[in-house]
Amino acid sequence: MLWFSVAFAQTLPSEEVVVEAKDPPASAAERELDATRVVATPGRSTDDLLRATRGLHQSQHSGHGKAFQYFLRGFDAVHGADLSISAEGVPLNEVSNVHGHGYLDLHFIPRQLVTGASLRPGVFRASVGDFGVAGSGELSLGLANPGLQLQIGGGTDLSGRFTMAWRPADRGPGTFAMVDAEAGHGVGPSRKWEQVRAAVGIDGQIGNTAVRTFALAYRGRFDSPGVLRESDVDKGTRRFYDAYDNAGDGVSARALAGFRLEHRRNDWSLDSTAWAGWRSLELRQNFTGFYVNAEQGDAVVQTHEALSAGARLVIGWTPADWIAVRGGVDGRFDHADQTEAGIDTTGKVWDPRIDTRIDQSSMGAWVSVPLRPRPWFDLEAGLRTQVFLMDLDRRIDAGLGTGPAKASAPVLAPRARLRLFADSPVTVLLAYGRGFRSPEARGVEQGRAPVSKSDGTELSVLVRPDDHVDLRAGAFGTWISNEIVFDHAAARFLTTGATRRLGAYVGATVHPVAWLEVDLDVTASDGRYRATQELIPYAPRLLAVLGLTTEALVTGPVVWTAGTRTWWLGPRPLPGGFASHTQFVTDVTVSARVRSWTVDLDIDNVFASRWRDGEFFYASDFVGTDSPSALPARHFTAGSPFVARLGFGFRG
Amino acid sequence: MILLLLACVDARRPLTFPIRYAELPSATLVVPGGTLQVDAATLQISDLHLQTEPSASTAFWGFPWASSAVAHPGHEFAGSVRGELIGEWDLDLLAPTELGVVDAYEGSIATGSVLLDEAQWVVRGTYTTASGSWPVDLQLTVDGVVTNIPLDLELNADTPPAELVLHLDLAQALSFSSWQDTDADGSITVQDGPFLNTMNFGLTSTSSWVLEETP
Repeated sequence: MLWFSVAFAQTLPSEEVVVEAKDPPASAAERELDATRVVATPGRSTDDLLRATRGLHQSQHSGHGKAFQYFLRGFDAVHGADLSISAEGVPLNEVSNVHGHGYLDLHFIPRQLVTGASLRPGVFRASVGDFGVAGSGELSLGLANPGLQLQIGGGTDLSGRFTMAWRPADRGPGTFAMVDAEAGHGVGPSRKWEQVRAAVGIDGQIGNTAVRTFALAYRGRFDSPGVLRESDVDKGTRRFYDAYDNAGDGVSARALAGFRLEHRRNDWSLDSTAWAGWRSLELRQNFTGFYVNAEQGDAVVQTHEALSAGARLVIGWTPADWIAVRGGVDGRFDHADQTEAGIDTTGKVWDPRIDTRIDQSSMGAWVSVPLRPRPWFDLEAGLRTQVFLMDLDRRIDAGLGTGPAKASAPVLAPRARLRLFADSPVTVLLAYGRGFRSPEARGVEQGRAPVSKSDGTELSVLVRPDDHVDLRAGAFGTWISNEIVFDHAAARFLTTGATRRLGAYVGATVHPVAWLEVDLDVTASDGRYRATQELIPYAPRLLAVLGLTTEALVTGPVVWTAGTRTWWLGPRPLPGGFASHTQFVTDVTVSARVRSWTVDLDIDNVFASRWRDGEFFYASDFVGTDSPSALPARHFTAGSPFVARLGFGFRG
Repeated sequence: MILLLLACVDARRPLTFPIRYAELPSATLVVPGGTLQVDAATLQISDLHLQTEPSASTAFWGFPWASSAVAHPGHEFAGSVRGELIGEWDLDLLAPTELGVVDAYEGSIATGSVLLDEAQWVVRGTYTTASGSWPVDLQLTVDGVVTNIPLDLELNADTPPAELVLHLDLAQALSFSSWQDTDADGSITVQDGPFLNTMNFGLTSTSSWVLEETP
């Protein structure tokens, strides 16, 4: 490895470090990524940054441009239903997206625009709102380096990328303009993609008030390889990176604008954000071939057009060193039109199933009181209340019939944390929080709608024997009295009974030398239905991640930033008592800068392992036989192959 | 060590075993009002399935036990089918027939099913009562699925069943009919009274079929 060849290297101070006061941790598993670690996190897109969340596994089953599927601490968060992510105070999960509630698609954010991330398993802070069930995260946006930045590159997956960004030398990271375009063929059929992003931001200072506004725009188109039956690969009728005909594709577009004011004066602080966004998503997919409909095929098209707007206000007051009061209000409104229909092999609609107008709003308020009565003892107790209002008109709905419906859903969520011995080598953390997820609007009926609620707790320990070593360990549990899932096929909320997730983690962050960070995390989760003790399907039970990161390492005229991520995922339980394979993957990113010039190398799947990103058991028929097998069969989505991407850049 | 133990997930293993149709134990059947001496009996059957649980009465996607993945490959359910033999067979109900090899997964089996896909069913013979005898020529087409045939079986890949045996209790299948020559043509056919419906009901009735493991 590169960093072992530079034994006498020295480190440079970071070019520009923006240090913000962070909340005290509620869990030893929480993680803060600064700009250097963002650069050193392998992966192509902003979505890949979330992999840095301890205990999180994410999978991509439908091509380069669709939201990932997230798994965290025993939860199958599908496309973001249990993972609340925001950027600069703007919530990014999409409510009642036709493809999945809480749909979390970060492809619209240029990776180069992320300057930091707070990634938090568990939900223990009163400030976390909707979709905060398994965890939450907050992204900071900006351009880390001033000046003009150009980058052009390509990859062995027949991809190309061009990025141009500019930040005035005399302005902060929040002032920028950039465009980013990429396209590729991918390894194997049905994997093409094209993406264009544009972003602009302005920041400034008016007295004690920091002002910033930003806007992001994105359009992407992608093909989806879908799934393959493992038996077809075993028989040799399909190759590992093949795809069936008409497996799927998508068009995704999003625009988002935000305006943020941060004001600090004496013992008061105020942070307010207003935002508005537009979203368009069209997905075509077929995961079963001709199994359900032998004539037309099982392909469906989903469309989702949404307008959203919201605001939040956070106020802090610190009357004394040992006490503070923080509180906030937030709200959002979403208007969406969505459809779903069966399509034949030519793409023609033959079976309209959903045509729904949705108006969904939520309003929340929270208060939290951090106390530090003794230097070795601090705690914080908070309470969040939220109400969801849904007004929809089902013009077509194969599952629920047609007509209007109005529903509301309130929720009350207490949260608390306790920290002992914060300044000593051994710190103990204890936290509790109720997480919640709003009802998916399309499933509601007149009246009260069900809110998914979880009660989670965690006990963890941070040990710092010296300045170079952080050790951590913790145990967590999450209980849900009645798991509520939305069955897309039946268009109904299903209650699957009480569940519990118990788990533990151990980890270490070590700096053997100043320029190298070694981070190891092992998270185990045991998620079960309480009545039957059956395992919760798909949720990883054991995930081990080893990361190596260099920090501004200098060898002669070259400044290196590099990172690797090696992860091992144990077998996952699949529905019906089946299990997935073990996966082992290593990704690498290396960035070298010589004065104004940069060379970036990203390698996915260094060891070229044929790993299965997603595995599923169900019946399918991709041939169109008269009598298809009803026996569940193993299907998989191929994980990313070996791909090397090389980029050349100029920073002036 | 505890963390590593959590990495262990029991997974169902595949297994195979043969299945055959077992002939009628006797060509003389006791049917309502008399006896039926069977000279010939044939039936077409199709796909056999073994399920983990009784099938719901309402179909989800046409087949109540079938799995699906329509919206998303993470939203499907695996279905309750754990064993299957796809095919079509022309059974001589008076003779045994090797049906083939079942592909299955480990686990509990509670029921089986037989598909009757526009199945031709023929029963010929002589119906005898105290008052006389009538030639019997019953021919009809049956379309449906015989579901919930009881089968209490725990499949294990280490000790697969030696053989499954499928029986049709023909007397039971024919027991719902009144057995009268209602059109007085001198023979009993499906044109006599409610034969058409009652035979259809009888053949698709769970009680007419038996699935068992060879002892």
